[in-house]
Amino acid sequence: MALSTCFDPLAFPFVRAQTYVDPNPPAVLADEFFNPTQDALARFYGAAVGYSTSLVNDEFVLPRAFGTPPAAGDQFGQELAVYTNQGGNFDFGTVSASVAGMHGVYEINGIANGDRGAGTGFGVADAARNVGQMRWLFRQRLRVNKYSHLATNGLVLGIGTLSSNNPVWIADSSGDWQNYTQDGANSAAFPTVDDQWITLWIGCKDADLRIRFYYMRDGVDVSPVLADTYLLTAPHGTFSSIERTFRYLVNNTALATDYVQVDNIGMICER
Amino acid sequence: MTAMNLNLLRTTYPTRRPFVREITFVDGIGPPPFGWFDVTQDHLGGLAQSSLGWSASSDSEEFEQSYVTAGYFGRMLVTREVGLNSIGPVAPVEVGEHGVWQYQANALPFAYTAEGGRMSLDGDFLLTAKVKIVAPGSLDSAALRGFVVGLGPLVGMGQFPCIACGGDKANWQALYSPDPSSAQVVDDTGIPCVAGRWYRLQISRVAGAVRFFVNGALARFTNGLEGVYYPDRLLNARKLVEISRTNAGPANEGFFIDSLHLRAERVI
Repeated sequence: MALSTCFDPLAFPFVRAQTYVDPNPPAVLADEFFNPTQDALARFYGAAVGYSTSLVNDEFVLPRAFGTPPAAGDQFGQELAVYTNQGGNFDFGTVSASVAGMHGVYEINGIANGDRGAGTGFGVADAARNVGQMRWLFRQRLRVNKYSHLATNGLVLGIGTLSSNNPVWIADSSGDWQNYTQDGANSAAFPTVDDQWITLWIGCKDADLRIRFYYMRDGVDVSPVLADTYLLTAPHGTFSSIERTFRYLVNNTALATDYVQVDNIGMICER
Repeated sequence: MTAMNLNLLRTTYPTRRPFVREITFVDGIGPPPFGWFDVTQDHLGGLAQSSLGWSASSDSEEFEQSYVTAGYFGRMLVTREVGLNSIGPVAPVEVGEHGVWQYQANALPFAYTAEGGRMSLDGDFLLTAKVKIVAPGSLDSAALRGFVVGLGPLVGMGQFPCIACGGDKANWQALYSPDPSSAQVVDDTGIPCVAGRWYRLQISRVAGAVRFFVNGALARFTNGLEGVYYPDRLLNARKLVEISRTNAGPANEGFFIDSLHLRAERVI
């Protein structure tokens, strides 16, 4: 099996292997098309019945009304649950699809102006996986209305909390997105932009301790962009407990109406 | 060119295409891809169609939920609950655990059943579960469903195919009926059920042939057959997991489950 198939957002089957044309087509190659096609199908069929691959993706199409701030343990969509809601000061619910590209969206906002109690803020996660050094790919699509109102390390998303030391994307009021791995944080060298929808990936496509960060901004990037690659050093790079995780924390300049909106959170892991 | 063997188009045999690569092509050497195109299109079509509820249904449960809803085990409905201590997600321990839930009993007799949505199984299907039993030796007998993963409860004639273990058997057992008017048969798969070890249990029907797999190994019955020919409709089938211990015993026995999926062909 071509092992990276389905774990690299820049490669087949997420993008075409070739564009074939008549009457002067490129050669149809075994390593480019015949074998990866079988492998990709095997991944998706395996995921559909729970072996070779696990694949989950919440599109947040389960409607939820604002008005009852959630408690820890309450469900967030159909798979994740709230693990913290500092002081009950955050609420979330379904919002209308106000711009093209929104397909079932939850908004998290506040019930009062200010830092909403600071502390741990609002966080959600799903059940954990032990993937060791195998292949995986995490993906989340979201937007924030006011990055300058985020606390330091206020937005964290990826395969664990910041304290878990697992790879995550970070954004706050500093101006740029950041990559974080067990070996430390680095600027991703592209800016946070208020209300810009962005899709972020983190993956390990070759089971080689290399962690890759990708992004794609609506209206800017036509395909995913590789932000950076990190070769983790032992004992890092072995993941015994990873979860789809998302944390939101604001500073004392925040308004109650400030929000983060989440369109989907997915993950595919090799079994 | 159309596939010569129409069974190659089917999508419920867990150790064949499309679940694995069966042919490795090498440029300039072969084999020629005759037939590959049609089979691959049909498999891709099957996946696309089942994702929208057409040609097949896919009832998936990865147990990735990190919350517990009263009355449910993951997204499965709890229909029997005696002697429960706790249920819910647990932290992974071994590599390969992808969202795991645990059923844990107390020291009293216990019984627990969780079920998926009901369906009429008229064609091919594939049930897959990944489970770990804490103490199979203290459970009720396999025939009495000490622990069962399968397609339905014990109902009389024409039993739903299941895979079971119990305190009276060292091996996994296949439960089935040879025909719709016969009662349950218990057949030994020859594959041990060891406490605290993960097993992938699968029940497959392809063109009427129902086969049982444990960790990818096709189970052969004591009579040498590799399953049972049962092409008949299985009305009111459902994903099911259940466990029971009639006697009091140690607390914290039960099972772990990583996934439970049912892919079923829609014939109408």
